[in-house]
Formats: sequence, C-alpha cells, structure tokens
Amino acid sequence: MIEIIPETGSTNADLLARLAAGEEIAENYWLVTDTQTSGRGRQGRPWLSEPGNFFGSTCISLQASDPPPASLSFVIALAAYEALVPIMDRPDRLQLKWPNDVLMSGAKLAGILLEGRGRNIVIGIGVNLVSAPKIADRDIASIAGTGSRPDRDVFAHSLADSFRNEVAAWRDTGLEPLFKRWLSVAHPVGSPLAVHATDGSRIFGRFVGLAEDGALLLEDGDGGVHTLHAGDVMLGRN
Amino acid sequence: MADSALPENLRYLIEEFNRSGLRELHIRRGDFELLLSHTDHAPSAPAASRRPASPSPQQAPQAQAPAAPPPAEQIADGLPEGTVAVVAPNLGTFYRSPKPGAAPYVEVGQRVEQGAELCLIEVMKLFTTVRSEVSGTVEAVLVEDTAMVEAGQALFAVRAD
Repeated sequence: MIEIIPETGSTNADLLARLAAGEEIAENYWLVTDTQTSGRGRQGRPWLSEPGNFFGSTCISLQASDPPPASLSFVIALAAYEALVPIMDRPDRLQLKWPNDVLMSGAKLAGILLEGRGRNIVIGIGVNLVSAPKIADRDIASIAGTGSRPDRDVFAHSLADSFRNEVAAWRDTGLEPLFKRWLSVAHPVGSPLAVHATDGSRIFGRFVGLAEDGALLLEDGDGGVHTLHAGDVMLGRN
Repeated sequence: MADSALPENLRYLIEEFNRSGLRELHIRRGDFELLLSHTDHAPSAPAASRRPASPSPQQAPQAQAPAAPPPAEQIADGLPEGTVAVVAPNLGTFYRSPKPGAAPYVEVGQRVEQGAELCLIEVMKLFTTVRSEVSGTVEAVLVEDTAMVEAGQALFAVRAD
C-alpha cells in the first residue's frame, strides 16, 4: 500500500514517530509525500525536497532469521536501481556507490537513509526524478536532465514492487547473491576511492570488494586492506 | 521459561544475539551474569579493522555475517560499582550527538528516563538509536565520539534510581 500526502517534515521521522507511539507498520506500506520541509540525510545533512521528486519511507520488521539489518542498505539500493532502469534513456549511466548511493554519470541521483528503532528499520529514499537540487561541492543529477520526465506515482509503485521482491530474496537466499548483484552494478573492483572516515581522516585506495557483512574493502598504496563500516565514499580520488 | 515471560529487554537481546552471528556473548557485573552461547568455546578477540594481506576481489561473501564476539571484559570492566551498562546493539561507529557539531544526547551527571536516547550507532548508513533501559543518572561515557564499537560493548554506565 502506498499512502501519498501533500507535505510533511520527513517521511522517516513520521514513521519513527508512529513506531514510538506503539503503532505497528506493515511491511510493503510506503509513506510518500509531494514535498518535505525537513528532509534529512546522513549525519543530519538536509535533503532538499523539490516538488516532483520522489520522497518516501517504508519499514521492515526484523525477524530472528533475517540477515544482519545493515545489509538492507544494499537491498534498497538494488531496488532503486531496478526501478530506475526502465524509466531512463541511458540506464548504462546508472551506478551504485557503497553502500547505497545511486549515481547517474557519477552524480548523485538518489539518497537513502536507514534508521533503526528496536526491531524495526525505517528506510527512507529520495530520488531526483525531475530536478536536481544545487548543493555546494556535490554533483547532483536528475532524470529530467536527460530529457525524460518520469511520473512520480508510477515510479513509487515500481520501487515498492522492486523492494518487496528484493526483501523476499534477502530473506530467502541471504547475502551472497545480494552482494553479487550489487557488485555487478556498482563501481568496479579496482576503482580508485577516497573514504572520509567518521573520525575526520581520509583513506585513499582502490576498491577490492565487500567483506562478509558488506563492509567496504579498500586496499591502500602499501597493500594493506582496510575494512570500513562507515564513511563518505568518493569515486576516483586517488 | 516461555519467551513471553522474559523481560522485554532480555528477549530483545536474545533476538539480536541470534541475528548477529555472534557465537557467544558473556556479560558479568557484580552478582549479575548472563551467558548466551551457540558453542562450548571461550570468546575470542574481536576482528582487526585492518588486515595485512589483500583478499581475492572475486571471493564470494558468505550468506551470513559471522562477527567476532565482544570480549566479556569490555562489559565487566571499567564500570563504576552498582551501575548498569548500556551496550552497543551492533558493530558500528559511535556518535554522541545526532549530527556533527550538535550537542551530545546526554552528558555525564545528566538524569535520564527509561527509553531516553543516548547515542547513535552507524553501520553502512543504518543509524540505530541506543536508549537507556533504566531511569537514572549517566555516570560515565565509556567510548570516544566517532570510535568504532563492537556488538555488546559497553557505551555508558547509568546508575539506576
């Protein structure tokens, strides 16, 4: 089910508030809004919510047999990728960046934020369907910039379908096939990357794959391999 | 004991333990001791965050994500007598504030109610809010801001009312 509302502060904040109030949110439910007044991204960064773009959140209720919940970052990224391919003139320009950024020709097309509350994981995603907000020092893209003008509601249903299928596969077959498919559409092994770690340090190296839990493996110039679980990843910054 | 008879916090901890891939979790403090285990072996040291050799880029990941168990001494040691440890629900980066430059959720000496937000743990863009399981006073912050923490590692010491 997709509920569409004209405006809210943040769809993620709305679902978290409903969980905090004791409400159970069914899986496959999406809260979608025409615009957000307080959209947010990683580390409290604002997510500029321009009308016509997609902003929505959903919720997963973890089961005891589920894979580690952080791997849902890869699940939602793949679902977004699959929903975007049919509405793009040049889907070959799409690429995923660790762990869940969606890029078009290297510029950010979608942002994803997951927030955990007890056994529930709220997953929010913003996709620049018709306009690309201008953000200093960030390359931002929109699909409309390529000549297409996708319909928000059609995209919402496509994303919900893709995510439902990806979650089912995540539960049924685990992480190995998930990571294989993620790797097939992400920055290739060997890509030069720079990671701005959360402690302020920067690590430069080349991408050598994913750890068993999905952590980024980055080989530095001395041949040491860093296992990174958080940080801002920049492509091609060696 | 039936699951329904377990305290909510303990049931949640068991579910997280089952989901985490940990082989063993051992918490010991004062007269309280809890051992959750899938094995007869003693806990081992946590995995290093930096490895000396390059893995095969084509190496297929495993279906599950086995993580090293948290060493019991991380929880048993360093806690002021009579305080309750608030532990990390999973491996990740520890944040004392909701965003860079913002005030910390809590300071030492601050009183908190049960369920109060204490910090965030981030792993792969999943941000999990850690809450106090008791009402009381924050007696110690046991981890530096932005440090990596292991699942089960003690983050705060709270003296319950």
